[in-house]
Amino acid sequence: MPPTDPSSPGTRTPPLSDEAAVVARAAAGDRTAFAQLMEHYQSACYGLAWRLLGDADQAADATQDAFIHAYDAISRFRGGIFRAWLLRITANASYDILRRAQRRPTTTLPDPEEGAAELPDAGAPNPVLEASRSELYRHLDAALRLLPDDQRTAVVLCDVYGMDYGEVAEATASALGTVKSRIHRGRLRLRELLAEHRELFER
Amino acid sequence: MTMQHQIHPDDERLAALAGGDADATADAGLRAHVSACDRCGPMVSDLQELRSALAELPDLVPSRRLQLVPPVPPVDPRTSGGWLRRLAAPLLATGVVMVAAATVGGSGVFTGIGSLAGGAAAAPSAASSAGSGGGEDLAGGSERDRLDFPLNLFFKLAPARVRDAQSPELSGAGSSQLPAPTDTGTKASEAPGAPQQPSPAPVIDEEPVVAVSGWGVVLLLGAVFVVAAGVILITQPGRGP
Repeated sequence: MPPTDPSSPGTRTPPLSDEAAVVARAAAGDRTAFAQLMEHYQSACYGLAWRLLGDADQAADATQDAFIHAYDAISRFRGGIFRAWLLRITANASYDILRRAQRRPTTTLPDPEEGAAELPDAGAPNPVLEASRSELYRHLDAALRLLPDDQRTAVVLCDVYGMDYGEVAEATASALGTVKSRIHRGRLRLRELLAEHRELFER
Repeated sequence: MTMQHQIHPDDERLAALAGGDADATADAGLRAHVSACDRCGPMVSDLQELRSALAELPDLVPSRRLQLVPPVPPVDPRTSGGWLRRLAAPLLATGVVMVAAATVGGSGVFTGIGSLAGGAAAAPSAASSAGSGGGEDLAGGSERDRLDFPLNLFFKLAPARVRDAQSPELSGAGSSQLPAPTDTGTKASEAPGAPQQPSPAPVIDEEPVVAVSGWGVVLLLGAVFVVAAGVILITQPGRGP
């Protein structure tokens, strides 16, 4: 599993302070502004791609494709939340790769005891809590990789990255009812997979 | 939470309720069941905790360095600027060649040859009857043409004899009429040092008094081409890298 963002362990990338201005400059053709946006959100995009594809190289490829598509499309960005817009592009790029590959994950749930634990730094407010959260995240990601592709894609887009059913349906080119069913079944399957680690949720 | 129900809602319905779906949360019967059922209540609670944990999953550092901005493809100056700019080079070359050809040709270098050829073609019988005199006359016209350059570029086709008719010596004869064959000797004697002129070829009488020279047209077109090419190059600059 790739390491979490060292600059903000266990967190999501917050918006840029002057994001609207940077996006406007990028939309006007400022390559430096565009690079600033991509550098800021590359961890978010890569995280989404990795969770959808389950493979580091493919995730990097999907993120790179998303940057290219975003560069071509940013002049048509009509406002709104830039992160959500960029993540939708990343989801589409990842889903394209997923459809091409037509493969299923073969990785088994990793043993938490093996490998280096992703412990937070010593300066964290509550090292014990941070350690348990990291373990929870590791189990969550491992369980996500055990879901069927269609369920994992729907759950990741909806529950991890906050897209609504319509956006998921658009990204996966699926019917709304199909998406809802995949999400519900995916949640139930995740609950089963994580049943033996319920204590992690209670901390 | 002691109430037990024989029939539980479908698990997907519980998952929808845990996800906050509007149709599930609006179902009062479902909510009442979940709040009282020892099986369904914990399941919905677990699913809600699961959703909260999923929403907190952190971003991940890419496994390799990504190119943040796509590279700009190198621009080929030969292909930049569209079809109009690509037209400029051949237009300019054609224009320069035409101007050069018209300048050289109109200056008289080719005039003698052209006139000789034209005279032979126009009045072969006259030329043959008069011997080499006709050629000398036309050659004399070429000499005048060289002196009149560049005006003769545009009026080259006017026969030298017709223009002679506009001179004071021949004004009485009319500009459109040639002297009679019997007057040739007289008029030739009036021009000091002029050689004896043979009888003019009658076919020349049919040529217009004022005609546009072919070289003039070439020069004019060449100049237009050059100017057009310059305008294109100025107004359609190639895109830089």
